[in-house]
This record gives sequence, C-alpha cells and structure tokens, in this order.
Amino acid sequence: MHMADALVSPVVAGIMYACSAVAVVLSIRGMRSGEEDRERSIPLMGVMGAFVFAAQMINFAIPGTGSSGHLCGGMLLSALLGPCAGFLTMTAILLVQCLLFADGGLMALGCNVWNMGFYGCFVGGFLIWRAFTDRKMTRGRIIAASVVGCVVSLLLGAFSVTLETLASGITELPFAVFVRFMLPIHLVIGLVEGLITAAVLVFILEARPGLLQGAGGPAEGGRRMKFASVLAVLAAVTLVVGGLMSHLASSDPDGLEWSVEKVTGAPEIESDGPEWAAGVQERTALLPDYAFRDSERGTSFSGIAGALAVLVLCFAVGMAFRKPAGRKIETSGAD
Amino acid sequence: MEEEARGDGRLQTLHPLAKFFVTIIYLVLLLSFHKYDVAGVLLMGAYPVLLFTLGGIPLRPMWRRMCVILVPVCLVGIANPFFDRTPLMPGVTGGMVSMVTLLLKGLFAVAAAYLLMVTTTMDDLCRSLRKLRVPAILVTVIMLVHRYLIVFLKEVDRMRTAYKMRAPGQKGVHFRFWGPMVGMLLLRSMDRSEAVYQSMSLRGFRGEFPSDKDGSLSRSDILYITICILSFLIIRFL
Amino acid sequence: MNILEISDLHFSYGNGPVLSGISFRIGEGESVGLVGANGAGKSTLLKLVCGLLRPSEGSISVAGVPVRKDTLNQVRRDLGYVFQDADNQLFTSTVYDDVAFAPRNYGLSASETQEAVERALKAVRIEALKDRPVYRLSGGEKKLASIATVLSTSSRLLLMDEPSVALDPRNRRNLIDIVNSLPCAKMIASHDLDFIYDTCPRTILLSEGRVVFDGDTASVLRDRTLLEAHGLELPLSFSRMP
Repeated sequence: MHMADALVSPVVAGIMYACSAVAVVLSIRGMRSGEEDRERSIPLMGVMGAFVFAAQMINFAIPGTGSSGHLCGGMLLSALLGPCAGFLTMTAILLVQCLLFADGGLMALGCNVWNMGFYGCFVGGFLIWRAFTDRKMTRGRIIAASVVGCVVSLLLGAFSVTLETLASGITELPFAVFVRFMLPIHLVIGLVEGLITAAVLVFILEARPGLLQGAGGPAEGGRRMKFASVLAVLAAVTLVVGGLMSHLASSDPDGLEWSVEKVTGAPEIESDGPEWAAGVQERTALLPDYAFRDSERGTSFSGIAGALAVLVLCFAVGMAFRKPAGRKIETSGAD
Repeated sequence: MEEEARGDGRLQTLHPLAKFFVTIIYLVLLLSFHKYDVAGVLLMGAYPVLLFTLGGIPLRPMWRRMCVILVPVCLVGIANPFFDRTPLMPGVTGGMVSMVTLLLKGLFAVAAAYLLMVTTTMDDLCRSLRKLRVPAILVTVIMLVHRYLIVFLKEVDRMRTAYKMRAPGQKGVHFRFWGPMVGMLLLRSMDRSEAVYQSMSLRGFRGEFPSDKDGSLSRSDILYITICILSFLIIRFL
Repeated sequence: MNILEISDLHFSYGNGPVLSGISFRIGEGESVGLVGANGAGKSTLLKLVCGLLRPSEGSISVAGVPVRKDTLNQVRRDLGYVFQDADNQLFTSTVYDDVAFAPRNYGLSASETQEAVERALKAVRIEALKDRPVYRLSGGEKKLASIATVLSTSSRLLLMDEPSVALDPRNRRNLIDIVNSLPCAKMIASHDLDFIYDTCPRTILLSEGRVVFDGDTASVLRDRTLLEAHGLELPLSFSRMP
C-alpha cells in the first residue's frame, strides 16, 4: 500500500505531511514522561523497528492457497510498545523503507505514515486492541483484536489511498470503481496479516505476558489516552483533510475549458468514447469537472521534441564532465 | 548504497541539507505539472540525467527500485486512456498523455530520491533532519532502525535457511510455526534492546546521538542550491 | 589506591540469592579474572559494579566513589563495560562515531574527541578501521572496536564479559596481546580459562554466588579437584601437562 510520489499532488502531500507531523508531535508527548523511561524507549523502538522491518520479509504460507502473507507491523508494535511509541517506530520504518528501498515516495511519505502508521497504531493497535483486551487478555481476544484491527486499519488505509490519489487528480478512474478495486483486496490482506500477527502475539502471551500492552505491561504516559479525545482528534483531522481537499475542486472554468469554449463555442467536447465509460463516470464521479489550468504547450509535438533535445544535451554534457565517485573504504566481508 | 554515499565524488561532498532541500523542491515542482504537460515533465528530467552522468552513478540498482515503484503507478494510470478521451492531438487523447506524464513523474521522482540516497549517508541525512527541527527521539530511532536492520536481516536469513533445510519443498513458513518463529526472534530483539540501552547509558546517552560535524553551508552548496532551484522554476513557470 | 572495592555484596533477582556476601578489592592497574560455571553470578557481578543493577545489601565503590543512583554518571566515567555481543555495543554507523559516542556525550570538544578516538583506536591497533561502517567489520574487528568504545574516555577499570567468544585463534591471540598492553585495571569474566591464564595474574572463582577462591591464577587453574567441584575443568594449557 506504499504510495509513490507520482500518485500525489504537492498540495495533498503537504496536507498529509502536516497531519502526520501533528500525529508525531502528539505521540512524542503521549509517550512515557520520565527522562529515564523516554531514554529507555529509544533503543527499544529502534531495535523493534529493525525487527519488524526484517520480520516483514518472512513469507508466511497460507494453507490451501499457495500464496503467502506478511506481518502487520503497526498492530504488533502498538500491542508491545503502546500506540505512541508504535507510531513513532512505524514512522521510522517507513522513512527507512522509502530511502533505502524506494518503498513509497519521499513526497508521499506523509500519506504513507498516515495510511499505514496512524491507522495501524491508533485505530487497530489502540482503539480496537483496547476494546477487545482491556478487561481480559486471552488467546481468543488477542486473535479477534488482531484480525479486526488489521482488517479495519488496512481498509481505512486503502480508502485513504483512494481519496488521496483522486484528490490529487492523478487518475481518471471513478471513485466507486477505484474503491471497489482496492477494498476487497485489502480486506483479504488484512485477514491474513491479522492471523499472522495474532499467532505472534499469542506466543508472546504464553511466553512473556507482561510484554503486552494492557496485560499488566507498562502503560504509555502517566495518563492513558482517553477514547473520547482520540475520537475528537480523528474527527477534527477528517474534517480538515476533507474540507481542504474539497476546496481544491473549483467551480470556475479552467483554462482548458475556456480554450475549448472559445474554439468550439461549447464548454465541453463531445466524447466519442464508449457510452458505458461515460455512464460509469457520470454515476460514480466524486469530483466532477475537476480540472487544472492550461496545458497546450505541454502536449504539442514541438514542446515534447524540444524537451527531449534538452535531455540528450544534458546527458552529453554530463558524460563529458563526469568524475566518478572514489571509494573511501575498502570493503571486506563480515562474518 | 552506503558505500557509494561515502565516496568522494562531487555530489557526495555537497552539504546533505543542500541536497535534501533541492530534492524536495524538485519533487514539489515536478508533481505540480499539469497532467497534460509532457514537455514540461520531460524537461525536469534534465536534473537526474545531468547528475547521474556527472556523478558517474551506476543506474542498475535504480532500475530495480524503479520496477517496484512503477507497477502501482501503471495500475493507477492504466485507466486514464479509457476514461479520459479528450482529444488533444490527432490520434492522441488526454488519457494517453496523462498516463505518460504519470509514468514520467514516477520515473523522475524515484531518480531524484535515489540520487539523494546514493550521495548522502543515512547519518548525514539524519543530521539534516535534526537541523530541520525533526524531533531528536524520531531521528535517533531512525538511526537505530538503520543500524540494526542488517543484524536482523541476517538473523531472519539464518532462520529461513534453518527452516528450509528441515522443511524442503515447503513454500513459506507453515502456520503452526508462525508464532514461535517470529515470537522467539521478537523476544531476542527485546532482550537486545535492553542490552543496547545499557550500553548507551554506560556511555553517557542523553536521548540523542551527539555530533561535532560542522553544520554550515559552503559557497559551492549555495551555488548548487541557487542554480538548481532557478532552473526548476524556469522550467516550471516559463 | 583501590580502583574497586566490594564489601559484603548480596543480590537476588527475586527467586533466590544470586550473589551472597561477596567481598574483594582490585588495585589500580591490576588484572583479575572472574571464573565460574554458568549461573555462578559473573555477569551479574559486572552489572552491579557499573550500576546497571542495584544490590540488595552491601556496598560497591569505584575509585573511592560509592556506586549509587546519584553517582552513576561520575562512576561510569571511570568504568568501561565490554559486552559479550559486540553488536549491542556498536550502535552507530561507523567505528569513529561509536568510539566518539562517549566523549561527545561527556562534552568534549571536537578536537578533544578526535584525539581521544585516535588514542583509543591506536591502543587496540585498528586505526585503519576508523571510517569503516560497523556492519562491514569481522567478528574480531567488532570485538576490538567495542573495546575502543570504552577506552576513549580513559577508563580506569575495564569490565569484560566473555571477550574471547566466537574469535578464531589468531584474533584471540591478538586480543590477548592487546588486553595485556592496556595499563588500566581489568576484571574479565570468562569461561575461556586459557584466556584468563594468559591475561590475569589473579583469579576469583565464583560458585553459587560466593567467592570460593581469590588468588594466584596458576594455583587455581592447576587445582583439578577445586575446579571440578565447582563445575569447571582444567584448562587446556594445564590438562596436557604431566
């Protein structure tokens, strides 16, 4: 579910960066407040982050299907470290994945942190985990919490990906089609990830129950996050994000429509595409008439040819003046 | 990639903050191009093309990353030709053009991010993040994730090999062992984190990794930033 | 002056005593081996000395300063603890940064830090590895780097937990030479009795949390009866002797 840079516009990327940044700041404040506790948490988060990263490389065979699934990091980290520390760890993991493995773009990092970290840790790993395990910590409750938590957080994440991509104007795919494509896939993925995560957490319950949040383990902060305040934050963020995104869709005719109107005398060109596509779009368009400004230059043959020529020139200049980087360190095999 | 980043090429010696800043501005402007503006997006490709060739940076590792990123981009863009049939040129619809710009944006965005990482060590990048007031706790965790990733990847590799040797022909880990396999690794990780904390606190740890590297930008860094940003703005707005 | 003084030390994890009535002293520059079977309390004793654990009874003082919660920063400047697993000790990305970690935390300037790092790397003969990423080090190199990380603050007492584990013969011999060249006091906990024989003139034998021998290394390592009574065996150096 990692989003690439090409799937978001700068405005959407900026909004999601802001939302994720607020969540990071609140998480730091929500963590255990004593200096020694905070210092102790840092290597714990770092090492656990590396563990989750590596553990997600393991393929877990799904019986009877021939395919495999992976661990759900957000849920696992929250169940062990608490939602705040879990979220910070997920943020670190996503950044390292983005930079080292190009799993997700740099501009889209804010979206990825929100879609995978926020929902995984606060919705799945906190709200749902607590709802199931607050009173009693049993195998059944852990399995239920893990499965429901993973499914819900993955569905929310997939839904957010759809909204963010559509709000960025990246795809012409209608909203309902996009959602109908994304959600069932992520439902199945969530089920599998939930079961794998449940298996690990049940093992921990049997081996070292004190490690699990809520099972007498260390609670985050001196004060637990109140359910109502979490919901309030979620609602406020949803309103801000939704409101800002809908503001992007302007009702004024854009340059292209204006050009078309001037040339043809009609605001829109009749499409000669299949009627079914137009019908689907009409019924499912969430943001109709959503367009940007003038683009004539960008699509002319001369414009494109000129741009290609510049690229070739740049390549030639680079090759003429290249100075390959020297190696400072001799590599040797480690054991 | 870390080895490449520790080299002494032109790009490696630039201040990490300068490279980070230029990369971000590049990405913002690249992504802001209109979906039909193929020429503009192509021109933005000059930045990665020039830097790859000037720096003599190998392309093959980037292509592998490219494939990972471009698959979802293609999946998203493939619907465009079906739903956007606005005629722009003879035989060319808006949907086709927007799909091409989407792919190009994906390509160049990955290239720009890759250039940043292949010429900047994770340590330097984290120091830049601190300069940008990213909280110390998050930056320290990032550095630790990066440091211990290889330790755990090796351990997972050993576990997978040991499992495969005793379960030949089995694809992936059987569900009966999901819990114990990962659970044991998890418990060892928690014990390791306690040992790391003890080691850090015995050496005066105060919540972040201190550094005594000079943080100021040189003249060549400022020149680099100025030239790059001016070029991007010219391509974008003229 | 004694660099380490332990008096009537008792410790328990909660399910029975681990250490009972431990008392001994280590002088400046002295090298002392700490031997005993698994579970004898060697690692626990090392952790108590550097304040990672708190005793239930008794006292510990390092360079005359009692080890208490409020004196930990001061005590730890004179101590260096080398962990058994070097990966737990090397947590930054390069050897230089790891060795510089403590001096920087203690507020040394950039030039002072550089001097301290170079001195520490020279002491363990790995100057060439200064800029090497940690993940590129071999097992022997990691062990030497982890020793360098505690030498950079001019530790007066070095605590080493199983230093020769997983080292090949050449690296092990190199480590023995380096340990013997260090002027600071040392307390080395190890199952490798030959290593103890080669590095420590004095040995303390722990058994079930008590000191059962404290004296000349050669004497205890020749005493088959004593060793076998406490879960150990004659080291190779002595087992082949007539």
